[in-house]
Amino acid sequence: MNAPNRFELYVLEDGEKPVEITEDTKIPNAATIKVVKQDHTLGNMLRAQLLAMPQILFAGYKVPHPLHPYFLIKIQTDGTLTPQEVLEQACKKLIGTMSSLEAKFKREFSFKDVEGAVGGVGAQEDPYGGGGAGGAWSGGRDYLDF
Amino acid sequence: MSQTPPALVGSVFERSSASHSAPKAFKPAKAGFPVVQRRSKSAFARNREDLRTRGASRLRNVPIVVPSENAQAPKPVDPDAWRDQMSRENEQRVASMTEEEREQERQEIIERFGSGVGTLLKRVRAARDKQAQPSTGDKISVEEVQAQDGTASLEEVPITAGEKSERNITSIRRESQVSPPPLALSTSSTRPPSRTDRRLRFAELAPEDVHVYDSAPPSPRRKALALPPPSNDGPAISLGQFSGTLKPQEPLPLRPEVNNAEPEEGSAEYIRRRYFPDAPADDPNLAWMQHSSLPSDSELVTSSLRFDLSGKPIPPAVSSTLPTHLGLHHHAEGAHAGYTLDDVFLLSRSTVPAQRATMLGVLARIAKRISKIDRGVTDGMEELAGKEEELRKRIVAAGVEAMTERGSVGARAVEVIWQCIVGWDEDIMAFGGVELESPTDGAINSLRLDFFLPQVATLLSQGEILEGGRSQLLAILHRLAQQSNQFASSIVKAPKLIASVVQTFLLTSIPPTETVSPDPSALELLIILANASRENASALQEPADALLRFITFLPSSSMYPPHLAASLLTSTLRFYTTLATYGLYSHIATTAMEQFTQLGRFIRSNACTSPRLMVAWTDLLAAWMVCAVDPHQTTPGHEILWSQIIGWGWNSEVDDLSDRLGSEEGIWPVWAGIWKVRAVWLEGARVNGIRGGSSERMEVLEIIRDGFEDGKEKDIVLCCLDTIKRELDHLAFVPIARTQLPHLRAVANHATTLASAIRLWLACLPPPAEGPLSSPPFPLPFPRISDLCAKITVHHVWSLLASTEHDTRHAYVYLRSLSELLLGYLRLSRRLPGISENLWAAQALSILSRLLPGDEDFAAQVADDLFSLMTPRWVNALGIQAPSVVWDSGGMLVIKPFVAHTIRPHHDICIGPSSPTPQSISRATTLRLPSITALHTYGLPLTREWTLTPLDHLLRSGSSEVFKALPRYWDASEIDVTRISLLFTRVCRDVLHHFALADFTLTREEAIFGCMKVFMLEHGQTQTDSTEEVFRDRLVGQLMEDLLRPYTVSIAPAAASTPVLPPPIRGDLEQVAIKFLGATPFYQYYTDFVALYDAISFSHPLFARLLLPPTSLRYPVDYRKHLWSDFGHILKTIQTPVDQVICEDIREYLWPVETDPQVLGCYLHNLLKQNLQGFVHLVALHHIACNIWQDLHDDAGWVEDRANKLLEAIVEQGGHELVREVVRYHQSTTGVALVPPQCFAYALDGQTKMARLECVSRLGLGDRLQGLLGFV
Repeated sequence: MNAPNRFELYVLEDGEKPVEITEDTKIPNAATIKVVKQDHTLGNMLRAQLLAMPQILFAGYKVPHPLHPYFLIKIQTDGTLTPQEVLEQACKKLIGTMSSLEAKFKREFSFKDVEGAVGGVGAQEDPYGGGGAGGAWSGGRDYLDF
Repeated sequence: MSQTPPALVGSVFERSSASHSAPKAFKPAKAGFPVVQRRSKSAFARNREDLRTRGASRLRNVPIVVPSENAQAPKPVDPDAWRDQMSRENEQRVASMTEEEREQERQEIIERFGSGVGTLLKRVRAARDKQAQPSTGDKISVEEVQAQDGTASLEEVPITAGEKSERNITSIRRESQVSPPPLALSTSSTRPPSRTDRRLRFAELAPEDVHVYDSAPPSPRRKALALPPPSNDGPAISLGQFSGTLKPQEPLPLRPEVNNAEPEEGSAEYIRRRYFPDAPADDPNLAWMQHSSLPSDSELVTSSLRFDLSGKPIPPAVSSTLPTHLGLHHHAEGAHAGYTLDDVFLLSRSTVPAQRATMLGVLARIAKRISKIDRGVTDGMEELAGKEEELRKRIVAAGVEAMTERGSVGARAVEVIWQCIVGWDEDIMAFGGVELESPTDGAINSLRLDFFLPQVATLLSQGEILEGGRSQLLAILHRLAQQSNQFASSIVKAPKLIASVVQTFLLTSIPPTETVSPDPSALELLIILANASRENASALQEPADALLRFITFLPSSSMYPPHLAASLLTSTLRFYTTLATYGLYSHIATTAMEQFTQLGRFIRSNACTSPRLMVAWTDLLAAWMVCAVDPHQTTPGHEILWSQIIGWGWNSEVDDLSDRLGSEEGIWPVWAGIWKVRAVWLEGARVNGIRGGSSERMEVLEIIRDGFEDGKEKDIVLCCLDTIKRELDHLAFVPIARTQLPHLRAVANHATTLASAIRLWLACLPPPAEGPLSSPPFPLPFPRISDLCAKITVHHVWSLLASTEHDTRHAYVYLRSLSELLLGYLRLSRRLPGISENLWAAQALSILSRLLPGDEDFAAQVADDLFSLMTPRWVNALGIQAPSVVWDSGGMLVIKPFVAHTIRPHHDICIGPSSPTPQSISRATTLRLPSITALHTYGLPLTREWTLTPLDHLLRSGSSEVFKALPRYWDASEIDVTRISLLFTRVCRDVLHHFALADFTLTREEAIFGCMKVFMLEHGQTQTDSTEEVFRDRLVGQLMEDLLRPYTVSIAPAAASTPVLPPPIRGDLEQVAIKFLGATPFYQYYTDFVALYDAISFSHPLFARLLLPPTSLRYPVDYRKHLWSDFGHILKTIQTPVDQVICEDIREYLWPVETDPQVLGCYLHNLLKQNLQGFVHLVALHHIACNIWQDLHDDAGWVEDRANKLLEAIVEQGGHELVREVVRYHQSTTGVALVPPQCFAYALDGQTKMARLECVSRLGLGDRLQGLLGFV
């Protein structure tokens, strides 16, 4: 009823900046970054990436309100890099990881297509890949079973 | 036929002599021709004659046959005998027939069955003979008889299923051949053959089976009861003397063990087997046919108690042997004597009034017995233990249902209710001034007052109820009024109830008759009702006028007996005192001035000997004086004026009374009353007198100084101190039992006396504005009073506040006198020159935790005094650094509204103090303390963490009532409130700690939880900059560090011998949190706390330290899982060093060794990732090492398989440093925990080394690790 429009969760409004960085005035080498129109998917990923980096002293994020589509990520570094640089590095690494993952996934998927064609089962397969899914999920179990 | 000789002989013999002259000899006529028969008789007459002769012969036959059968009766009867008899009879009949008759019968049969019947019968007979030949010779076969008279359905032999089907076939076949003939011959005179061998049941009974009881005596003179004396086990039940002899009854017949055995003839089973073999054996629809004395029934009896008519339980062994004439068998189930509870409940609803009345009487007595179970007197009713309250509820419901009945039913019903409500626990009614409500009081709470109270009113107003019943009703009302304020209000609001109580019990006819006189307990009821609430009290003003009659006639001149008159007068005065405590009805002092003057004269005279009356009188005077101090506080205003008080000269009346009093212990309360009157007088004079009442003070001091210096007063104060001290020693044990309550009561009484003396002393002081005291107005033993109050403050007796025992839970009302004494002392010590400010602050802080609801005004005043004491100078003198910025925003005033709310959380309820003040008489809504279950909703007694409560309001600022009603001057920020609150807490903690008042000092868990709250202020906040965060404020951080410093781990050696530490004495974090969190579990709070750390902390060190306490092994594993598993990534940022952990001893994190695989997995993972530093590293290392090395493991939880896997993982994946630490790790199970680096540098003894080496060698790692173990 009064739920916000779906698109508001991911479409930037006019003039809205996707990322805002606030240097913390009190704590050295610390910053709070506000990322709008994003949620836990990116926040959690970024934090995990940041925590894996040696320059990071602290990295944490929060989504202040579930209906407000933004998150705040707090970063503190050891001083060798500024939080902004660390975040950029983290994002690059993350993009790299993602694209390699995507490439791997596509490759595997194409293998699967090829195997499917070779196997010759594919002709009558249902359009939703039901047969394949059934095999993958060990005996026709629905995801609801979990 | 030869097989049954007697029958044969009998018949043959008799028959030959009978009519057997059958072949008539041919009688030759004279003429050689037959004589012409004259037909002189008509055909009808001949027929008649024929009939007669034939009938006579038959009649002669019958008796011959039957006796021969009867003589045989005791002999077991051959089942085939009827057949023989049948055929014999048939043959006899045939033989007795004439030829013509035989021919006629034959023709008839042929005609009916066709001509073939003869051959058929012959064939059948031949077949049967052949069949029967081997066993029974020429017995007449069944088939023949059946064919003749169609009695096949009366076959006697019980048949099994197989036989039956076969028989069915044959019988069907037979019926197709022969249609059943009418019983032409056999039905005429013989009995149906099927009944001939039916056994008579009584014939089988042995003579001893028949019991003859002594029946109930025909006349009451005869000795009535005949019972065997009970066996010697258990409490004897005696139903009377037995004089005759009585045969013990045989045990009840048991159901046959073998199912195939022949059931008793005539029983349901017998019928079923015989006639309905297809029907199921145990048809539940036929359960009603079952005989009652079955084994299952007797089991039922043993599991449910039976009671006799006096409510005594009858042991099961006895209940089966009691005779029936005792009236114990009038119930439906079973043959046992006595009534089960269900029977009694059922019969108590009987429509027969006598029965109902009897059963209600039984119920009342049962209730009495059940109520004793509570006190451990089970009396054979063990199985009812634990169900008392439920039964009480049912019994009282039965009583209420019947109470409207007339006659004895109603009277008994009232008795039942009385027994359940009043008689259940009469001792509890001694606790006045407190609501007795408790959640376990199901019976009283279940009472429908809107139904019950009008019934009581009706009963009382109709006047039909007897004397005993009336006083029981009064007692019931009394108990209900004590139950809760709500109950009391219902009683007052019930239409006509109070009016009829007053009419019935108080306004009796004058002059009194023999039987009816006023009842002082009705006045007590009115007092209790008035105590309950202000509304009640103002409603009760109406009947109050009528009570003047008890004052008008003094005991000396009363028409009532002196004792009764005195107690009526006392109760009336107390009732007026109660009303005056609300500021109500004080105009009566003016209206009935003459009477009260008379009364005063009487009390001062030697004719008055009752101390209770004197106390009541002084209390009333004191209460009215309080009303007169400020005429605007009474309701309505100006009811009594100070000038009137002066005019009446009550002060001098009291002096006269004190002159004639002694100093024995029984009189002390009167002295207390006198001192109280004087104190109130002086307090009033300070307000209303000229120059602050200094001349009145002089006047009083003139009178009393000598007594306190060296006289009766001094003796009393000293004796009082001694007695309290002595009685307190009796109360030194925890928990306080019911038997110790008299001591407590004595302590309370004497404490009141002492408090009155202190109050008088304070009233004699000049106002504080006149500067410090040069000398006390009169001496009191100050050091001894200080000692005593110190002793009381830390005494175990306060544990009653947490009592859950049924017996003692209401006894906390006695503590009210103690807190009054402590209050008085606190005011006293403020004025004593020898008491330093620090000491007074410590006293005030400790006594604040000992105040009870009702003392709110005074508590607020003490808190204000404390706030005004806490100046920057004073705080700095304590060695606490508090920068001036803290004080700039208003100092302690910032938290004053919060503290005031903490002290008085309810705005609608105001409990009057134990001694009324001019302010309290207009504000008090009730004079009673709440029940102990509701005590926690009140602010007092203050908890140890009360200084931190402003944080609660900050955390719940949206719903906090304080924020809705802040004073105008208040403009502090969140940080200000937090700073002041923490500072105040810190100061209080240090002051209390300095004077070693450990009971009142903030505990570690409370401090931890309080600091958690500071951090949680950021929960749900949306600011992006850390500057706004309260915990980042430098001062707040500093204050939290200071607050927690005494609670961080002390490296000092602890003397615990066991590795597992006991839980904290005063509640762990979960218990501490309950007060703030309510129903929310602390775990949830902790998850929020961890999430907050994860989001915003920037690894704040103190924040990180606060994450650790719930992960100690005292708490459930969930906390550790949450921190180590769900939020494993934040462990890297927890860099708390070992000596900064907030705990008593780090061993609470080390032992018992963790065994949960998930947590161990997290430990291992984080160790291998090298994420951990400081304390968390030690914890993870400890648990991993302990799970690897058996010598470190404390109990049987060590699993070799897991140890090997862990060791392999460490060695394969871990760095060299980690492997070294694990291999060389050692921890001592007793004494001080070893911290790094000692735990790695410890020299392992040879045996341990060998064991570890053996272990690693088994895994093939010996070469790599033996160097580390010291084997090179």
